[in-house]
Amino acid sequence: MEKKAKKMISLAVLAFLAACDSGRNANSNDVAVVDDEALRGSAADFIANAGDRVFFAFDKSNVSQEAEATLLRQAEWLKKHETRKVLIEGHCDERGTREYNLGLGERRADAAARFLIDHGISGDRVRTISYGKDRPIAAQGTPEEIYRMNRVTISVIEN
Amino acid sequence: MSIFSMKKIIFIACVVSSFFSDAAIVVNINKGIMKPVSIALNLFDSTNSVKDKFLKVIKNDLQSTYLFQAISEDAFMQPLRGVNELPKFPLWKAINAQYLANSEIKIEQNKMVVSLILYDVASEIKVGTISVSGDAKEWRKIAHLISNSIYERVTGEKGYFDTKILYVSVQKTYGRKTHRLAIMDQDGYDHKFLTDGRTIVLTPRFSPNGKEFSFFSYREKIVNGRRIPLSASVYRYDLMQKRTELIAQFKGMTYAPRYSPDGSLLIFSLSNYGSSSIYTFDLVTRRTTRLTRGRCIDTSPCYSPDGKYIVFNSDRGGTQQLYIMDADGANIRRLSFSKGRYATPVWSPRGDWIAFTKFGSEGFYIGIIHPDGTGERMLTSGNLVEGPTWSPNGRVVMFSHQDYSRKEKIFSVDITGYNKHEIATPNNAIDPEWSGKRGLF
Repeated sequence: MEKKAKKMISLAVLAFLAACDSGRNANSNDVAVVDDEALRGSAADFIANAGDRVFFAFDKSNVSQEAEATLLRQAEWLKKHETRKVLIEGHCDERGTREYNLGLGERRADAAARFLIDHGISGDRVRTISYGKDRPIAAQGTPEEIYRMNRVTISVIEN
Repeated sequence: MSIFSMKKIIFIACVVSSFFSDAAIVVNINKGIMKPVSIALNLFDSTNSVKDKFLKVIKNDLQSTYLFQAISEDAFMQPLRGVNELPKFPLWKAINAQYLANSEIKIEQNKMVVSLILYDVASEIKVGTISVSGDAKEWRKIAHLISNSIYERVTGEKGYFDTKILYVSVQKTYGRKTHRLAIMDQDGYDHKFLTDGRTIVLTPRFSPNGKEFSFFSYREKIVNGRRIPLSASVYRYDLMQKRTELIAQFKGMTYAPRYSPDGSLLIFSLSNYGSSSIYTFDLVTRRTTRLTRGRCIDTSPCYSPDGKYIVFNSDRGGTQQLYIMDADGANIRRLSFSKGRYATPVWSPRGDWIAFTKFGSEGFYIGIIHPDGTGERMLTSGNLVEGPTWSPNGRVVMFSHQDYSRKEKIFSVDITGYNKHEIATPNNAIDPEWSGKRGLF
């Protein structure tokens, strides 16, 4: 019972981190894999076991090998939980112009969506949006932070 | 009563008499002016009720250009009591006045009449006479029209002191940015927020008649306390009725709106499946026309003032560059060729320049280039500067400026590259848009 509560807390923490858009790469490489029956198929489960974000190089929208690994886990997760849908948000760093970056964010979100669709996920379960450079992660502007702004976040949405 | 109500603007008329064409000093503002023209602003107000605040507006307008320096009234050796009193020029030369604006205010019932004679002191000649009348409650606007006239007589360029600035006010609360559309006079007065900050709003653009503007925003729903975006689109805001309207439903995101010079069309980007193309939407027939194609990002479209051409930003050649095409989308040719990325082209209201953002490893610039690709030069640089907008006379640009402490403010710079300064706003400010039409508010 106590163990279960601990897991719940860790999941809650993960969900919170994701919700604040902290820039953490919350995939199974750097967090404990949590398997809890009660939470299977939840948004928190998705974050913990599939990962909720992938990164891109400056002004690029091609899916890197690292991003592919995350997206593959997400595709597997979505196959297991057939009723779930995802929202894919494309973001860019601030070192660009606002309007172009809206287009670039859309292109990145589309690249992630296309990957999931190519890996067997129905297009009507995947929705994209671009925030360009106007939802940056909290940052001072270090190169590492700027890199982490070039991201697509993928989240399970409750219908 | 709303400031945008047309009813309020009844009497305002600006009558400028013919003036002597052999005025001695003509300020050439194509060159950087290092030394401003000194002007004595003499105002006679028999009621003494509005003089100080009226003069303050004119002084602030003229000095904000850095082309004028007003001489302190305390120095005047011959304070003039009305426009009929003739100046003794040696007394004005003695205080180094290059120009003397001798003016008087009359208020009868609620009507204000301001008369002004502008003298070139060195040549001892009358350069022009001006009379502006209007509702006394509109005294600030009347003062701006007087400033316009003085500026026009001295520089030969149109004044822009009775214009509005639209922009996006940004506030950071608990790490979250709140974006609100705001509008103010060009000198910062009459500041108003137009939206409540619930959703992101960006890139407001005036319609040519100044009665409405278009902008980019999101529609969201809140599910379990979380904002879920539903769409990202171009909207219109009616300044008279204070009403927001989605222009139309499209499959994909619409963004980067601007009006055609006749106000009949909106031009914008529509993005889906990873590409952004340029479209127009006819506001009357509601017909959509596609202008560009291809797997690239075509955005920030802007018409030439005659409506014949469109300048836009595209990465079709690999990185962001500027392109010009005919208004029907034909004959696309590249405009920018230097090293670096080019973005946000905006055609000057005079048609002679296109302002843009340029950036690369060495930083961000605001620059200008002639539509034929010649004359490219940078006006200013900064940690992050972007999104120029022109003054209606095409002599000044405003732009977004983020400094190294990440403070975001609107700045202004002359096309000479001189006179860069911050425009005061209550919060952080981005995406300035200068109203083109004067006198419509």
